[in-house]
Amino acid sequence: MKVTREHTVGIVCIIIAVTILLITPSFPAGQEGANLTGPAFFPNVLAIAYILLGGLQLFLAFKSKPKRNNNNIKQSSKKDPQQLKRIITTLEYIALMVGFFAFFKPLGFIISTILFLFLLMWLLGVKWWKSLLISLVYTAIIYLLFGMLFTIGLPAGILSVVGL
Amino acid sequence: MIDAFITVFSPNVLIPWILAMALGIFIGAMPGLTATMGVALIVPLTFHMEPIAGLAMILGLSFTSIFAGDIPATFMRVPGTPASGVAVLDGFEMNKKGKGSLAIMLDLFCSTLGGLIGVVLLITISPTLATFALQFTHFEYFWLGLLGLSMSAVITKGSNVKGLISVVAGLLISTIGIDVATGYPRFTFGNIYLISGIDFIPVMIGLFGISEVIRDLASQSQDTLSGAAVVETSKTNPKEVLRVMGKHKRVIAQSSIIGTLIGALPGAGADIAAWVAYGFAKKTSKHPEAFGTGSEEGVIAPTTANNAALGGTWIPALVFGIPGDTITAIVLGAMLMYGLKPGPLVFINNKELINQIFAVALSSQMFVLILGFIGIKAFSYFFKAPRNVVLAGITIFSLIGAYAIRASTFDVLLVIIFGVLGFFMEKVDMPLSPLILGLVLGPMIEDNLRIGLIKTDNQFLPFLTRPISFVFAVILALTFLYEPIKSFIARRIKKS
Repeated sequence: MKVTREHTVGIVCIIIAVTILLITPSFPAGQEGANLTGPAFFPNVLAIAYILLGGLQLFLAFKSKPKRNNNNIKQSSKKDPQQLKRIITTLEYIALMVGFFAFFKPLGFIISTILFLFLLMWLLGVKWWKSLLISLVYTAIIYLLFGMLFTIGLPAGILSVVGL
Repeated sequence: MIDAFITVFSPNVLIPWILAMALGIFIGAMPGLTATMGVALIVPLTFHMEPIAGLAMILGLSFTSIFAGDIPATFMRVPGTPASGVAVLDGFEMNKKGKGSLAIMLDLFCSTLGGLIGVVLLITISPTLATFALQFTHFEYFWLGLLGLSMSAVITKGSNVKGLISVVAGLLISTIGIDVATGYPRFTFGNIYLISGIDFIPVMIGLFGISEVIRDLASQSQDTLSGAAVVETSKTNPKEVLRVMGKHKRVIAQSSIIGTLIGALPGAGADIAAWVAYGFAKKTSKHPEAFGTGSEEGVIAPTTANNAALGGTWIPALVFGIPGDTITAIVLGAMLMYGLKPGPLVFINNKELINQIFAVALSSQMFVLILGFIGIKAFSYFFKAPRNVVLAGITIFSLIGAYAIRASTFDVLLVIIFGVLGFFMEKVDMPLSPLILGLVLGPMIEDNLRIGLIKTDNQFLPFLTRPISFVFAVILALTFLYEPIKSFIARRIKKS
């Protein structure tokens, strides 16, 4: 018996539900000790709903014939040289965003945004000088729009010394 | 009334009004900048103006931004405002089929028409409706929330179980943060950023925007954004748009009425109106299977309803001083600042101003059409840019847009997390929109349920015994039983 995506969805639901039911007993009771009105009530109801839904999903997954899955396995077992490259690009994209999040405050909006956009477009295969130019244009537009027009406090970071 | 029109078309009202409406197009089309935020940003500018000039700016901006939210929803699958969350379903699908231009023109024309019908209803039926909504208590709001959730079951295509899993995920996320009733921080794990809860805007931007970019990078198929964003360049004849609208006039009429009614309910605005109208259009459509695959009705219903809802939200605001949504909540604050006291007396003491507000609301629709058209043209240049440049643009606007809501870098992280989650959810064919619906309606359902239970000493029966509550509960039951009953009756008829 092979565990498919369909099974995984059901299992994940049940794991989440059990985790919630383990956490909620530490919540305080509601008014006059009534559990129905306490902070744990609604999450508990939802957790029970998740156990039922997860169970139903598992049941449906077991019931359905794994005919389609065989085809999928055959397809994916074909060597696709492009696939690995795409997965790496996707992971790099996510890593770049996490990097942007981490450096947004310390480096400041201007530097982190230019760097992020430049690296992102460079990663996607845009020529370096084009990447640089477009990064500058995007950053300027966002700065004017969000920073100047809507006066949203974009972090200055290390540029705060020059008063930007 | 003619005097009112003359006043509002004087330059000192007209100029700021038009400028605010143009700004509205921009705000609406930028993911992360919402109509509410736009209104909040311009209110300080209006304090030195005449009240009607300030109110015209607010009204006009809200109409254009709610429409413009559909522009990135249709072309990039990123809803510009929460009210455009539904527009990504069929609008984007139409765009993928090369009919993006028709979809956006339908959005524009139907938004205008929906807005117009909403305003006409505002003018005609406002007192009666507001009286009705005023009778609502926690019991009714609880059922209303559940009714909203039940729409997700209708909206979902494919497995209903997965739709429900997605809804409950949204409800669960809504419980994160301080519990309003007891002040206890739930599921925060000591993280200070989680104490105020998870805002639905970064969730929405992540699920729809970033996940689409990830999908594009991971699959590289023609089906995704890279193909779609640049596809649409052909022009659409207005006659063709009007023909399609004529074909679906029933959907336009029903969505306008649903939108206005929902807008008139305090606390429910353009976003919920769009969902309900979409669900209702699907339920009553001859081709429900086409919904979610680029259905014209699926584009028309939400866009008509969300602009109609704007008129509706002003009903309780003007008549009783109760905000219909967040925008009118700001309006009420602004009116107090101008020295006006919203409530029944406004209709007697400031009759002129009320007429001017109606005149502005009616004329704004004409400007929506003109400015909306210019806005679409301006944005189409952006969509014609090379794919990688568009992808980078979507990413940075999504990230900064999320930051802009509360100036919180944590929201930037949320966008990334929900982007990845959205990607995996789509991998397992789990619909994304029910999660948003659960997240938005969660607090309304939980708070009203718990306050209701406190009032009744933990008895659930009173939730059913009040007349309006009972009607809502019956409607809710019918939403789920409608299909089985229909097929049962059909089988009976066949047999006999």
